[in-house]
Amino acid sequence: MKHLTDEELMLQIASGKLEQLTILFERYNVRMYNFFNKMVHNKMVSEDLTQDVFIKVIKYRTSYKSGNFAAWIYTIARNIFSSHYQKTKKERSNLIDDDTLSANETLVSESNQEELDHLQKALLQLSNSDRELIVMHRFQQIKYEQIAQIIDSTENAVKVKVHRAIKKLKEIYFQTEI
Amino acid sequence: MKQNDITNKLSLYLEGSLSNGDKIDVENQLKNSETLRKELEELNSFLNILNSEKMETPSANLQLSFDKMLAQEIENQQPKVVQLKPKTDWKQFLRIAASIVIVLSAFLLGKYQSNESKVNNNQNQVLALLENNSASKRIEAVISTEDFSIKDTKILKALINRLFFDKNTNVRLAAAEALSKFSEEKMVRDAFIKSLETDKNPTIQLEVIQILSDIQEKRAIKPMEKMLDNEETPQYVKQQLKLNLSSLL
Repeated sequence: MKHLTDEELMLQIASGKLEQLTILFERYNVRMYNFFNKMVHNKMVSEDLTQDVFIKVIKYRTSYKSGNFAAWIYTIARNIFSSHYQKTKKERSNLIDDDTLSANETLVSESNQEELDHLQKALLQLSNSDRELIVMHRFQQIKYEQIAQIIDSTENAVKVKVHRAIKKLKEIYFQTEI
Repeated sequence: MKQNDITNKLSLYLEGSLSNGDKIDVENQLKNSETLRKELEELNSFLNILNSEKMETPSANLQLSFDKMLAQEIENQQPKVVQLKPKTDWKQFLRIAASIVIVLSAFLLGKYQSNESKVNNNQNQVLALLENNSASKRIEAVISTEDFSIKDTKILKALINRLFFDKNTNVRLAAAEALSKFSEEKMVRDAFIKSLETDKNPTIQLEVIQILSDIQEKRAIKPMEKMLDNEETPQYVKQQLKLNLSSLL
């Protein structure tokens, strides 16, 4: 069973073999969790949203039509994030204000952990679409071609967008650090 | 190539995902521009920071709640799948067909049985009435046997029984009349002959003589001649005997 591709497994799930989802969960739960954690920077919420992804996979299993599974599951994840974002708009804006405040206080980042915290805070200041591109491309190592599939764009457009997002992040990162 | 275009390609250059032509382009520009080299360096160190990010592992809760959710879904799935399978539709159809068959067969069975029992009831009623204490009831029963078009040995036997043994003359007479309709039965003919030999009542004797001559029963000749010789036989019976014997001979 372990040697089957994601797509083969998902087709089996679509035809009713729900237990195969365990394998897909093993393959994707860490990636999904980290995707959400980078997007919302909250471990508890990220776990809940990851759980939601797999609930949706079961719910919409019959709508899966043998396409690239990773692209499909990331599309679900993006939709879940976007509805979560809408739901918590008010709370979130307060949260980010707090974050930027504390970000300004952190002036020196010597150790690696501090550097990463700082990066996370910079990341949260990006727009959702920029942040998700960086998360997918840099942290999740998804190929440009696949990102294009997920966000319904072309490969070249994605390359340019990713680069611009990295540039923006770099500016935010160094600005707040100094 | 514009400066902007080049900076956009720097990250791709660092990743090594540029086409050969673009790669040479970027390298040439880098040789010529100090600022571009600085930017490349900056970008490189920043990307290194980005790359130092490690995937975090979610807590065990995620696995637990996933397992729970999946078990629940698999459980929920069972009845749903059964309903959706076309196989079930076929089974459903079979069930409907079976229930129709059951209803229909029950209806037909009931219809047939009620007819049967109706006949049975009638027969039993008549047989019971034939044994009734009241003579008029017995006559009624004897007359009602005329409704039985099919020869029914049970009824015939009962009627013959009446003809031989009923205390009431009128009942015996009615029985004789009723039996005359089944005169083609050997059992009935034998009964008439025996009745002629045994019955002492002139009314019955007259009736039986009439019936026997009507059905042309040759075996009745001997007992008739015997009755003619009998002193006790009333005159008008003898007259009737003579009249009918001539038609039988």
